[in-house]
Amino acid sequence: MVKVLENVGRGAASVVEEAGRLGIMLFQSLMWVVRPPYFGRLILKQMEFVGVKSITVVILTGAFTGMVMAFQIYYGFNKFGAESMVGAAVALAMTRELGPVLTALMVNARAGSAMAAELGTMRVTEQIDALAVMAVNPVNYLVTPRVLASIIMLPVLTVVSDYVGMLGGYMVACGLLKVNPGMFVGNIYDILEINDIFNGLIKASFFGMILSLVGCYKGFYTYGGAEGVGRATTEAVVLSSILILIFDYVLTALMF
Amino acid sequence: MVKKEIIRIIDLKKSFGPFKVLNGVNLGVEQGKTTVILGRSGGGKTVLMKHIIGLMRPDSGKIIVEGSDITVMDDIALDRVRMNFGMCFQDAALFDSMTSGENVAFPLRMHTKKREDEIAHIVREKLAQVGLKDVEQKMPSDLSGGMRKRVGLARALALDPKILLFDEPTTGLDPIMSDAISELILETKRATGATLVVISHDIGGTFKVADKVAMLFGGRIVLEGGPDEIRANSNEAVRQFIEGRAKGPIPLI
Ligand SMILES: Nc1ncnc2c1ncn2[C@@H]1O[C@H](COP(=O)(O)OP(=O)(O)OP(=O)(O)O)[C@@H](O)[C@H]1O
Ligand SMILES: [Mg+2]
Repeated sequence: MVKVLENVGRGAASVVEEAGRLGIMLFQSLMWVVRPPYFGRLILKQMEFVGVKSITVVILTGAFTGMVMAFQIYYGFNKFGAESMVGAAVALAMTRELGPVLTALMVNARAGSAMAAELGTMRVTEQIDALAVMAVNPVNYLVTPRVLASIIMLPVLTVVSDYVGMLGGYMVACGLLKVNPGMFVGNIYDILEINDIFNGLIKASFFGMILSLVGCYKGFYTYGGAEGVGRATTEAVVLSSILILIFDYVLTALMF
Repeated sequence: MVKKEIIRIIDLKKSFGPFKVLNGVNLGVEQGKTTVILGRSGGGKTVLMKHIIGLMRPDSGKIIVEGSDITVMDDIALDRVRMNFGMCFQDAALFDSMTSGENVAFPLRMHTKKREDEIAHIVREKLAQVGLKDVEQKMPSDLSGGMRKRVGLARALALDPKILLFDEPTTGLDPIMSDAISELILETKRATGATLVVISHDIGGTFKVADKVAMLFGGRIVLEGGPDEIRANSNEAVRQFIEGRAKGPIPLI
């Protein structure tokens, strides 16, 4: 019994410690946004990596999600003759919820994991130490560009995802299920508000911050050679996925 | 001639959990001289060197570099001190996303406003100084261990540092390459007049380059002196180490 309590206590302490270190890294990375030297080129490079190179994945996820949503919502709405509202329902679901969350989860799997692996390798091969020795702050050089690029690019990707999601929904609803295209689009215009999109984009930015911060953090504090890099990568993806879903709830409740 | 200490380490202690790695290290490094720190594998040599350049913070003790204690400095002050240092890592620690040339150019791009053609010139010059030619475009992964160490040295030399730190410059190289690196260290000192701190467990190389030898054992400097004094020392543990015997007062584990 004592042993169990001891383990629970130790677990809780390490969670608090980890949260603290994450918070410190967040603070430092944001502080270097305003403090020179600035690494604009690195930010652009990361924006390309996080953003441009994720587009295919995001388009595929968004399109298929919109398509399957159209089927499912049609099935439900059809029962009380509201098929014409399928478009609006897909649009709300995509912009407020599925666009940001699925985009974040996909980018996390692609880019968050890569950040952890890259920084982890740099840590175990002493490249991060080498940066520090050359009087270049490793957080400024490595973490800030990744966090900033993710905060900027996730909303952009989410817009793409929202759009192709609705497009996918349109194709299934109007193409396969014979919903009236005019009603489909018209209802979207009537019901979807700019705030719905905006809420989703705020979430997306936040998720971008989470996945980049956790990826960088796990990489930055990697220890134990190649095995450590593998462990850091897995832990980064799992932890940010969980945090994305938790903060999705928190942000939704706050902005509701 | 007045001896001037550029680095003074005072009662430095560092533990990882219950494991005491440094247990009261005291050591002075004289300006313009080569100090070699000898010690066993896992004896805390790298840890000591990381303290000297502020990569690790001690549990207690001081490290005075040119009159100021770096263990209490903030990052900005520390970066200013680090501009005087160049460091060659045990496994070179080259940035593997950059070519060798970009690696050497890196400190110049970060800390000077030199034009690209000036930088290219300096890179070529520093690489030539370490005996390398036409490797600028090669990725670190395409170089041999000895070549990587040389590129690492060229990168450390890029800003003409006053103090050069070498973490096991000869470990993992064949005897000929080891000796070539030792020669290179001697040559670097002649050419730059820098203060050198070398960590090693390579006895031959040590006696070749050292002005002063310090033995790190059990978390302390147990012996320091000129290479001849060390060679003549009759202490059983010292003899065991420099003769490389498994049997003796130094336990294996
Ligand atoms: N960050 C760290 N966390 C925990 N333990 C560490 C850390 N760094 C070093 N150690 C431990 O400190 C001890 C000394 O390590 P160090 O790397 O200084 O040895 P070394 O003398 O450089 O050995 P080698 O000749 O093999 O390079 C080792 O037992 C190592 O496990
Ligand atoms: Mg070492």
